[in-house]
Amino acid sequence: MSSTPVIHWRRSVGRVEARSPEEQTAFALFERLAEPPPLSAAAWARIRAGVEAKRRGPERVPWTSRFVARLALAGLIAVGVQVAFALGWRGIHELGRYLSAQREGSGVPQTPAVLGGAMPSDPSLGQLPPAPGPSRPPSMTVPSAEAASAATVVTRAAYRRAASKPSEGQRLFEESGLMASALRNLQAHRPAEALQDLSRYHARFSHGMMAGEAALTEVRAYLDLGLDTKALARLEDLARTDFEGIPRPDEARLLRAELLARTRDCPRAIQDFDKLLVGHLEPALDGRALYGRAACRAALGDSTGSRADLSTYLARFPDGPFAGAARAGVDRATR
Amino acid sequence: MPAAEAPHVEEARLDIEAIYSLHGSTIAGWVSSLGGPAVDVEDMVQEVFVAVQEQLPRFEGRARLKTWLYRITANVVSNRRRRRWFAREGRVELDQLAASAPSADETVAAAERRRKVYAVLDRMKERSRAVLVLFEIEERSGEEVAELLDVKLETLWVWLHRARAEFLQHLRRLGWEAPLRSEGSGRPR
Repeated sequence: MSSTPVIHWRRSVGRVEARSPEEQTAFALFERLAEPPPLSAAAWARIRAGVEAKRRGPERVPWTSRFVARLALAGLIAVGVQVAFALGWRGIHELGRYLSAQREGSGVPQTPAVLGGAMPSDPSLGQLPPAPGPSRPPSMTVPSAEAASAATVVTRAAYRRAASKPSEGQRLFEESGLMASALRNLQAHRPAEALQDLSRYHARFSHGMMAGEAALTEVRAYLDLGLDTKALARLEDLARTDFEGIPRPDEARLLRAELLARTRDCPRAIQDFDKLLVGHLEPALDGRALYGRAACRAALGDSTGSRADLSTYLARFPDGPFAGAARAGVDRATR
Repeated sequence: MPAAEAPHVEEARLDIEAIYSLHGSTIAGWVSSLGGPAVDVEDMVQEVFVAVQEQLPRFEGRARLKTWLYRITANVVSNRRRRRWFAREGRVELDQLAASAPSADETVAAAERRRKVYAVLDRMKERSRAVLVLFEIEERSGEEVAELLDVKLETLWVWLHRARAEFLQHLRRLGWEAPLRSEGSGRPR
């Protein structure tokens, strides 16, 4: 390590006077950071095997391409729904005109031949004097003014209704736009802005199609702001309906369990962990639930149960994110 | 290619096996430091080596091999962190709870400090985060960090100054005053 004019924070305690309480905190935090354990030989063997398998295997589609494809598909569906509704209103408009004309008895502006019927034979026609101008076939009669007016009334009413109430496509478009904005803000570490978007979303769509996703995003925004109590309160709301309508109920339940555990409400947290571990969980959630239950059991004095969970965790995830802490826990329990 | 344009052309002749043996542990260290406590290091190191294997034929020796490897690692970790944002892997860690158990020891306290550092780092911009990780956590010299990030030393000192200010600002904003976080380990001084 060559000399630098700036002293590392982790070497500053007792050597550099902190200029603020935060700087003092930073010195202390960095001073004795836990060193991550090195990868085992077995882990390196698995890495090499995995890299080799990927070299031989089919080329993977990057996640960005998959995301763009999904976005494009969602856009196409939204446009399709809008077009379908637009065509639907035009159909009603045409139907209104047709029915109004029928009510007035003046026929429709289409020839029977067009409609697929035979030309009616009207004996009175032969008695009529010849028309002064160019003759008009009987089937081509123009609707009366009243009929035309009635048709107009139907059309305008339909359009007024259509205009006053946004189509499903428009709603979906607006809804997904607000949600996308919230997710973008959250991803860019702007949780406060994401919460503003979600507030607008809730005001506009109280029972929107993405209400579940919005609720989960709100929880994440609170967590990002460090407002764990609010996040937990929101999750408690969702738990009242057993996380019904939430896109990833297991993840929501796990978050609640972890937050409950951190408020020392371990009995309730364990209930949630138990429910999760009974079902089939994806590996990332499974590991967190196992480790969480182990921590809660240890906190409640159930060292046997805690050791059993930690052993299961290590058997399933020997190099998982909590492996180091789990090993330390097992060692402590067996001492 | 003229030698002047590719000063590290010798390194470009390395194969993946040599990179495993010469730089494997360094890459694993970067993954661990850049990713933080919640990442699956093994899985991510594998992803880095897959990328290295794919891109190695295109490495022309214009940059130092180490700088090139760091860039790939940083990209993989950054992408994975973005993806993890959706999955929230290990979002709420329980080390704090474990620390309150009767058999808590210094290992757990160190793990808790690490969790706190990364809780702040996760809120920072990618560049500032990388500078702090390499300089403050990995304890590399300014020259080394500047080389890895492919910038001049003077620029690095400016970046470090800003990164530190950003870290302290987040620390101040967080304050560890949230009710759940103030319990157990107490507010850091």
